[in-house]
Amino acid sequence: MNAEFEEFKIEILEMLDRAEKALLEFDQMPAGQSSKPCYDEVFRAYHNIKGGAGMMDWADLQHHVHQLENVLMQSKETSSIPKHLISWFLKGNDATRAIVAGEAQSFSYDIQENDAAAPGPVTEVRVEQAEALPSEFYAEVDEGLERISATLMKLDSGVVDKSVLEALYRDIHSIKGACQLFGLADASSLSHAMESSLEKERNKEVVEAEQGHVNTLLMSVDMLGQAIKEPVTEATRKEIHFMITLLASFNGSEAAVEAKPEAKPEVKAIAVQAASAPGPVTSEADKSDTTIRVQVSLLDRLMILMGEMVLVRNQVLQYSQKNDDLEFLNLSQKLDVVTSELQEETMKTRMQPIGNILSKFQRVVRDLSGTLNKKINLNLVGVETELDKTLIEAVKDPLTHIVRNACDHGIELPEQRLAAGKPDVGTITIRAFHEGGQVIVDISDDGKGLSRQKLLNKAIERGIVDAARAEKMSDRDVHALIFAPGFSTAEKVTNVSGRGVGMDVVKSNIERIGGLVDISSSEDEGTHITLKIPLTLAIVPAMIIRSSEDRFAIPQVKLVELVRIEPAMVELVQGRPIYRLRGNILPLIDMKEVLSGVESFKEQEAINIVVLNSEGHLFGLIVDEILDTADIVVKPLARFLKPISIYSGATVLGDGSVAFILDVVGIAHKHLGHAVHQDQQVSDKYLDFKGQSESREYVLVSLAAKAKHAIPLGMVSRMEEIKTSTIELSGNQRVVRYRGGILKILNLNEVFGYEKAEVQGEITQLIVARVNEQMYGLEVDQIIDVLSTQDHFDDSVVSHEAITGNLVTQNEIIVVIDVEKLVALAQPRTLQLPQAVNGPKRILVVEDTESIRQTIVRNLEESGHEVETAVDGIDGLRRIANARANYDLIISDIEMPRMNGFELARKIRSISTLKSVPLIAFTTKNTPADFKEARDAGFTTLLEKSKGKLLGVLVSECLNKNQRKTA
Amino acid sequence: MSQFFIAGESESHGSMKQFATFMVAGRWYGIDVMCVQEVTKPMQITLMRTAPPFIKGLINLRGQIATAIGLRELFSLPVDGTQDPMTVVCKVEDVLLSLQVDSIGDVVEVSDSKFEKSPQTIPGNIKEFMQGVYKTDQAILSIISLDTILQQLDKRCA
Repeated sequence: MNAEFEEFKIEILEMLDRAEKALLEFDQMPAGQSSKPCYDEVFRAYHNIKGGAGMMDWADLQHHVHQLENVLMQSKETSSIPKHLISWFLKGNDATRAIVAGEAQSFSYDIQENDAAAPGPVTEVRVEQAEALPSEFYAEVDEGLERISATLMKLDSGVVDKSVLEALYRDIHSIKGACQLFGLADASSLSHAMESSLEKERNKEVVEAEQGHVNTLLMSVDMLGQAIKEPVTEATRKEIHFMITLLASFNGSEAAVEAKPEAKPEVKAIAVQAASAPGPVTSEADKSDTTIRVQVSLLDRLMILMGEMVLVRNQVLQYSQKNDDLEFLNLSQKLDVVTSELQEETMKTRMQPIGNILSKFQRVVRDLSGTLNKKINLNLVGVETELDKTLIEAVKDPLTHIVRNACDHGIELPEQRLAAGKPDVGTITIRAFHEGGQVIVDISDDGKGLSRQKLLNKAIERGIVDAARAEKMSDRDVHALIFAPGFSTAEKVTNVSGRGVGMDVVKSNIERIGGLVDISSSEDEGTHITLKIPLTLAIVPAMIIRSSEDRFAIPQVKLVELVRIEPAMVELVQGRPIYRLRGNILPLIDMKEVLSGVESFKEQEAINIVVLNSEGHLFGLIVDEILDTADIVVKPLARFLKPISIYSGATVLGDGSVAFILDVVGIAHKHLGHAVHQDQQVSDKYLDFKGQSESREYVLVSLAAKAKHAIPLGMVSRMEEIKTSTIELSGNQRVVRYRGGILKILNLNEVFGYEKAEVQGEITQLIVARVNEQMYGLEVDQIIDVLSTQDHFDDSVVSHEAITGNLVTQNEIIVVIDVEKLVALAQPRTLQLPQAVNGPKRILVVEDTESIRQTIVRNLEESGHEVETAVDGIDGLRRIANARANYDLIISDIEMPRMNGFELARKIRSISTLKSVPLIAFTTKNTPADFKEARDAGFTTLLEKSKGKLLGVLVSECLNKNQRKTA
Repeated sequence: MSQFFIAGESESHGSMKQFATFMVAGRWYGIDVMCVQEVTKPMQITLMRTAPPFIKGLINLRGQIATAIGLRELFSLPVDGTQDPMTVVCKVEDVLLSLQVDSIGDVVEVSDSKFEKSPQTIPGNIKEFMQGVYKTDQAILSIISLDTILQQLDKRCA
């Protein structure tokens, strides 16, 4: 009973959510549009809640919702809700929630008008119930009718036992009961007549039915089904009456007499709803057939078991490799595959569309725009994007904060907007989508944006930065200031936001779940906040390390890089070890010290440092050994262990032993304490989202030449050390077996014609580079370091085709290698195909329809291009402005919200560096006028969407042409 | 079944309770049998360094992780380190505890009428964990409250 009650509560909340959504839709609906579906939705919700409350004997709730329903009924004729009442209903919903939560509510039922003209007759209410019947009812009726038909067929085939008739009688009776309960008057009279007509037979031991009676009953069954599931029209009602009379003839007249008066008074009432009976009921019934409600705890348990199963699988696989039994090997492979699939599906069970929380913001924005006297429109894109339920809960508060901020600080008052040449209605857009195993939530507004000067003034006033430094800060750094604790720029504190406890909390909340927050803004144009959230918390990628006898897992999100250094490179500052990592001081903490609390830094042969990022501060953790990476199942620690803050959880490793997961932030707090100042914060390059960084990263290698060489990190997929003896020859080509395939080895000394050292060491160092989806092993003498630099790049001296130029650093010149060229040069015959010379290109796709966008992206990515997307012209321009390098090609739709394709093209062409970039219009527009306008706007060419297959060809053509032109 | 049995006995002896018993440092303790999930042989413990001495570490119990608690350390009993302790796994408020004990005794069924509160002379550091004692034929059984253990763990780790 209790569980049922809880379930009922959940259901009520869901219904309220639906009603609320419909109410808000109402609010935004332009005049003239049919509001019937919305009205019905609200009505259904109230009605169902009322019905449920009645069943649960919940008088308060029943009474309250009844009042809401009454007021709603007044506008039944027009099926529209007076605008001034929407807020009243919304408040009513809040009061309903309060009742459900068991809280006191003070809701005034008083609406200014029409209070007396209370609701229509009760019959009408009962009739409306037909719209809102629970799907279980339909399922039951269907089952019942099916059984009745089957029994009747038996009867038809001859003499049957009394028990058969008993069953028939019971089925009809229960349908009658259900119909009465739900106010289906016609159906209940019909079933009553059916029941009565059987009365006589029921008293006999053996039943032999009359042919005519069975036929009539069968027809009645069909009609009954119809009367229950479909709206009863005047015509069918006549048929039903005829049938009732007919049935009565099998049982003497009293049945007919009995049936009729019951039917009559309600006939009128049904007629009211007949015309408006909704189609959606059946579709809703369909939906409920394919979904069931499950306790979250059960899903959690499933996840835990799944984790255990993965562990067992790992152990079986480990064992099978030591075993010669082929059969066993085979079976364990199967187990492996099935387990992986099962794991994936199990993860999905916890996924929920992010729309569940996003749609709540409609209400937030509506309420706020009322309070703030602003006109704000909330636009939701990608509400179907799914992520783990626990994460949805976790992002709710930060998102609310951001949205409130956008309303309060971002969007200006209507008059200010008009004065600034913007539409008086401000727009906030929330977009959610998947990207690279993460969920991205973008919140952008077209408000006044962040003011650099105001931010800086405030920051200086608060002592967050000093004036001298403020001058030099990049816009990005300035914008990031709003995440600093205690920072608020609102000129006056409002009760909406502006107490300075906002964005820093948002940042730390998002980071706690392993996500990232980024902000960009341009003054007067708007602010754009991006949240990157992992898909799930239950399984995280981690690095396993060893310190003494213990193994620990470190979540990859906290890991910046791994460094292995000579002990001599560690310096001591006031007795504390530090390492100069590319010129910056990296404080070191010895894991042994963390564990024992004793300073124990000792000289060793080589030191492994795990560089970790704790809330923006970098530090190096000295460990004994770096073991492996693994996807680990996170298990929480017992609650009393939480104060021991260096562990954030535990996990079971492949061999069944338990390892602690290190709490990087906890360790930093404990061992770095407050020693880390704001200005020691890691420079942007580590915190930036990949790709937006202004600095460039290279792998530094030494070759048989004096200068160091650098390979762009973007081209490098791995760095490997292989045994020289494992290198084999395929023809003249040196190759090595690598990850189930063959890796071609290119010796860079050979390529550049440097004097090659004759003596081969035991170990060969390879840089595995990916070019056109193909891996190459670049053999170098030694891999020195990873270099992140903003140093000057100079391409005036190029001594070799495969060299793009030189990096000029303070004390040396580093030669930068062009890997694509290099690979092409090393293998002239196979790689001079046009496609290969092209290489992967960066393409921007601007398209507002998600499905089309996805299809284009998929196609282009399949041909090896790097594709970025934008949802409309404004977004496209923003992408272009933020891009680390110019796009090689841009594809744009024409019809888009906010800024259309023509306008976008004109804007693009007005940027000097983008004068010659190929621009393809991909659109349904195909008249000559459209062609002309497209060309005038600056498009290179136009392709109709109906000819989408040609897009790939067109893209390569445009790229080739452009390449030749620039070459 | 056991319920039926208890019902039958109750007329003469008052209601009966069952306790899982074990030895720690030569002393006889019992905990409510309903809290005990299982009793296992020594298991591999992942040491939790930096934790107070009574927290031994973590144990993998078929994928579930239990926290190993050293009762000797918790009760401030002499630690000699010679025993290879057995573990009694119990669940309190969804926390899985693995109590490290010296040896496992029988499950004892005692009547409420044999209950008495802890003698006043028992030192406070153990008495605070005890609900009271049962006078059995063999010896006096000290009953430990798991709730108190959990409370103390919360308090002492904080």
